[in-house]
Amino acid sequence: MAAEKMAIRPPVSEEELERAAKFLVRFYRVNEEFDPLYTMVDDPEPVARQLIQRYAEEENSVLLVAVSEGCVVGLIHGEVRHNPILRASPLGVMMELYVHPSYRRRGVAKRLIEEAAKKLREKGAKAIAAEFPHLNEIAVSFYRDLGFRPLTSVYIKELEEKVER
Amino acid sequence: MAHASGSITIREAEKRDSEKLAEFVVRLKQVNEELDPMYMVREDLEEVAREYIEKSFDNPDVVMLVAEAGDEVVGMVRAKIVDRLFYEPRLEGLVTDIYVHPLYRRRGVAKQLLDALEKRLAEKGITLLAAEHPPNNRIAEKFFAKEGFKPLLMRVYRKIG
Repeated sequence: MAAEKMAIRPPVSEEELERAAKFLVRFYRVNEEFDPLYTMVDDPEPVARQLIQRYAEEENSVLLVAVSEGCVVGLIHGEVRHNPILRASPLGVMMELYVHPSYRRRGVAKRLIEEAAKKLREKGAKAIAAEFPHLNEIAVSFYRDLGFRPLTSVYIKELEEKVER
Repeated sequence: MAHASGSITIREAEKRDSEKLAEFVVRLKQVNEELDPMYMVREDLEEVAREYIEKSFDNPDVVMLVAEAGDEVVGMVRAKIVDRLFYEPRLEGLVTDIYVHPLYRRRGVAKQLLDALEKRLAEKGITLLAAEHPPNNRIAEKFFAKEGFKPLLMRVYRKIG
């Protein structure tokens, strides 16, 4: 099924939320490969269900699923982020995006982004951004092809020892 | 996995490692699945991975090593000895699977596994080490390039029928 014919909308049933939670875990499992700081907790499924519930309810959140023949095949989650000193505030930031492997290469992610961008704009976003692991080169070329440019670099290091108080 | 500190030791895989080996093979194939729809995994991936590991123990042409942190298996490498039939050198050690748990990345565990594998294969008289990975796996590509590997085989496909 072509991406144009897919429904992109918020999840409407428990079943869809459940499937979205599964996809969220799959998304984070991919990220795990890029850095130890993306390692998930031991039992991520129940946490993913709570997160999806929160994304679905929160005012500043956008959660959409791609539905093909009644089945959820992808998801996107973004939020509006405020920094009142910036003219571009609030920003719409897409933090999680996942399309099931058997539905890749037909523009589903692109449509998810377009629809999420619309929703984020409705919530006031002046620009949209995407966050993903620095080493995810597939994501880099994907977003570049869609006209995105690098904005923020996040550098990180572990805090080795506990601070004694 | 509670913590990620401590030194890493490499040893031959044993039957008691089977569950962990299968788990890592599953994780590896799931990574591949993300990289290309042609690597979509089967429904019974876990079961197949367990059989794959079991059979590997019985195959004299397979070498499997594990990386341990304390008494915990945190990485694995599996290689099989391949006969190149038409070419010299005839025998090649082919890395079919190499995986390190994400918590134990960025400290050279995969390199340690590879070095130990190289030694193990050299003892068997093998002079060529090769590895295969999906073309989209940039992490693998960079890792092997850094370890001095060069491209050797291009596999193309198209769907038919």
